[in-house]
Amino acid sequence: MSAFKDITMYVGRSGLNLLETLKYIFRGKINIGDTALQIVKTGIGSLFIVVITQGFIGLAMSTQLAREFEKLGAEHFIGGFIALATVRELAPVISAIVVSGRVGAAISAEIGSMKVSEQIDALSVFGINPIRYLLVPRLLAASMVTPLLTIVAAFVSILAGMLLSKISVDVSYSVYLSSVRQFVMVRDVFIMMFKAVIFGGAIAIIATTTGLEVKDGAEAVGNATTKTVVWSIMTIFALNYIITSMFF
Amino acid sequence: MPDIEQQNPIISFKNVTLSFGNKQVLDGLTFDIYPKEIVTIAGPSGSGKSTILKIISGLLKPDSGEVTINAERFGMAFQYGALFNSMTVKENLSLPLEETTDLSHKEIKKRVQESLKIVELEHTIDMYPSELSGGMQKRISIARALALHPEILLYDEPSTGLDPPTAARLEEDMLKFRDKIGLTSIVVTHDVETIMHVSDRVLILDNGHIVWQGTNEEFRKDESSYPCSFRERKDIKECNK
Repeated sequence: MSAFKDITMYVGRSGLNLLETLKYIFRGKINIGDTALQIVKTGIGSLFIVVITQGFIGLAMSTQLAREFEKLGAEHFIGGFIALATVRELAPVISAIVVSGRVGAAISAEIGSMKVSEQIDALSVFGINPIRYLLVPRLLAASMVTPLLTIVAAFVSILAGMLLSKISVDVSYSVYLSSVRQFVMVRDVFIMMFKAVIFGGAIAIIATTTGLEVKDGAEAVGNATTKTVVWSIMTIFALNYIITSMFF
Repeated sequence: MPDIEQQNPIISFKNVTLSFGNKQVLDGLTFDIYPKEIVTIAGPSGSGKSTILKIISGLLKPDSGEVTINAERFGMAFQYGALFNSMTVKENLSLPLEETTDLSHKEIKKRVQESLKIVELEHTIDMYPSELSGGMQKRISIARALALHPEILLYDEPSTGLDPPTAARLEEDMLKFRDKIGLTSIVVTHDVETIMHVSDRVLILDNGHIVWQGTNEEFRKDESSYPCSFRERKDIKECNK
């Protein structure tokens, strides 16, 4: 019962932080310089991991599908299937998981350390709202960078699948790309981007809320980063299901 | 010491109570602080000293009672400095001015330089907090507060963790701020040296309320249990003998 109450309170606080952040964004109270800095930190730090993970996912999918489709004589559909799975589900979800592990954990550790060392109190005492100063730029950065990473992720995954399909079952590049175009609609790409925006924002909110809840001590900061990653991943999967069921 | 009889309080607590869960931290706290005086709030750990600073600075709200603050600007020097690690000293001092005032870049630069000059740490302007000693971080924290031209400055355990000469230097700064710029200071400490060096008045807090208050001279001479136990570093029971 206590755990249920804690979870409810946590979700409530995250919701309130989101509302307060949106209020500042709609009022135009955005620190452009800090937002740009967060975009660079978020994007540069995650790009390499996204490329590597999504490249291997493309290769693995292609390996599986090539053998099965070859048995059915449907090799020319490999590109479409890989692209559809990537664009609709894998690219946004995997990119968001990378962002939660790489960026969400870092945000949580940074803000948790600031809380422990009274830097958050210092902001409040000087009249600087911590939500406006810390959360607004991080939410904007995560919501902008995650879709960009997702595009890169989808591109790398489809490309990796194309290369392996050529090597393993000799599907030509033109046949592969034609299948991609046949299966993937513009609408799919927009929904992929929409998912990524929502996932990025959710990660920033969870990471900041968890960081601000740190009471004291290095152990608490460590626990906050773990909590951020766990909650972010669960939230990403839950939101992914909701958005998928809304649009498909 | 300023003549407090002639003035209205700059800070007034009336029957202030605050609890964290089942723990009563402040229990009907009542006191006044007057302009240009240095008041130290002493008391054992967990007696609610820092909570008073958090209420004055707006970080906490009391459960009941009345807190009146007749000042528009105040600053706070945190126990461990609370400097922003990712920023240089210059950026640390500029941030509150950039975020909360309409001052131009030129005026902000001037304020930063003036504040660093007061604490005599002008040479640290481009350094990061990690490059500074604990004492320097505390003095930069004070400079950051002074840059806002506060009417009240709150100090949380200013001498904790400092070597005696650095602590004495910091205490001299507090007296200088009172004498030269008329700053009202509230100092939370359990360091008897600091209490006797800087205080105009001393409030001793225990179990969430004030158990003794008096001037610095009275603190030095009073043989009653609380000032005695602090001054002589004895258990209260020994002072009662």
